[in-house]
Amino acid sequence: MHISDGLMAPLVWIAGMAIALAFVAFAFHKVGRRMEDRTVPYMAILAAGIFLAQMLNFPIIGGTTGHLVGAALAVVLLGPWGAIAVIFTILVIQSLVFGDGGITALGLNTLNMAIVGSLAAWGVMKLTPKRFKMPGIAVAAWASVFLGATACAIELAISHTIDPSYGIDGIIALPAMMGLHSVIGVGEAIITTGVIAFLIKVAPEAMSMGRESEPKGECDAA
Amino acid sequence: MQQLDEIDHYADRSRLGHFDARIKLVCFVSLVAVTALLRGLAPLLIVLAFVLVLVALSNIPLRHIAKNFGLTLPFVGFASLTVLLTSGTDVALVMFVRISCSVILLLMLVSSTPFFKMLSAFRALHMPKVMANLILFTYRFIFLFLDEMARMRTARIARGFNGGRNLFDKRAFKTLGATIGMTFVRANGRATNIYDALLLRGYSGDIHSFDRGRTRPRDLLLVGVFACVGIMAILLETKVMTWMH
Repeated sequence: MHISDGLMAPLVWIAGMAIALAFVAFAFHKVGRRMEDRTVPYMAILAAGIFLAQMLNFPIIGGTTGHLVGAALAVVLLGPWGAIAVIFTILVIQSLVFGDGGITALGLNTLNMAIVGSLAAWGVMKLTPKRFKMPGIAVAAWASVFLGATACAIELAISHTIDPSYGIDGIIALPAMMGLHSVIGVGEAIITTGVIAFLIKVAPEAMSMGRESEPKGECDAA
Repeated sequence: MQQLDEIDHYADRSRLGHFDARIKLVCFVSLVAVTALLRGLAPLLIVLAFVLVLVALSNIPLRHIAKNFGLTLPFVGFASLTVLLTSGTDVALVMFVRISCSVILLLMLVSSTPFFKMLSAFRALHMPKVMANLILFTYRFIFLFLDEMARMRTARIARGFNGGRNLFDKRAFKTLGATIGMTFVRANGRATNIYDALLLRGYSGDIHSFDRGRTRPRDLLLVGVFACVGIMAILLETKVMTWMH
């Protein structure tokens, strides 16, 4: 889902950058306001963990593989604004250290994976009754991948409509991205619930570490 | 995945590694942004020629650039192929050259700049402290925990894990979920020790470097060269140069 430089129409990536910067600034403001000494290293552990988890491929079918995005996992452990900050950090490192994903496209990548992904996961979790917590996390993880990919496909289609030398025709981009990621999302859902179930069982303290200073009741998805 | 020493190894060896990281960051990001705006083949060929000269002069192994560029080729190829089918050869070629130039420029930047110089450049360009610290810690922890992942991978293979067959392979997903969960648990323990060690050594949440990042005449030369290429590409794009001719 990582968009490269030069793929999107200038109007689309400039608008994406503006929207993403506004959300990221607000996310860091929210995170910074309730930050304690160990919040940054803990968030960094999660960011590094999600970064590494993204390297683990899971099987889909016929030899094809997908990999974790991690937005829903970050939302469960840190809340929506912490998740946006963490996924944005991962995208910056991927772009400016490993050359994966573009600089001008950083805004759109942030919008799709960090903002749409995290807010979609958070929204689903908020709407899910507490007694269905684990199925809710699974649906949230699927929604984060599917809606992130849908946003990406829409951006590709808009870019192509603005100028045919940018983006991909919506007739191809929308079904390809949505179809593929509806399947990849299933893997994301299974892995995310697996990790959360493992952490609840083995390290329950990890479930509250990143949110210990959060005002009560702000996000009770986990 | 590259190792930490591999990345900085190329950065130290590169001729581009000696420039002021702040200047270099601004130059490369500006040219990538200009490239992303180009729609004509002629200005893109100017940028491509400059990028190839830069690759040749940079002293970064061509194999390293080619390997990393190769990783993006399937996506670049897919995008260009769909445009070829919907909008024709010329437009597809423009898209292919534009994305390729941008990807190679970004690879040149990241391959020729040590991580800490890059982070110092971000701070000098007013990146918020919280953001810079989060990036710094994340980067350090990634390499710290890569060996944890490698050890767990070896253990998985030794126990007969082969990556699983499909989405319904319950055992494969249970193993992968437990691996990621255990990575968090182990990472947490080791990171806590590192953070305690940093506090004992006087860490106060800011990044200090012995390298003060002085701007030298050669940095201004770099700005001049990048500006010339960028302006020439924009003039060709806007047909000003054609009109003058």
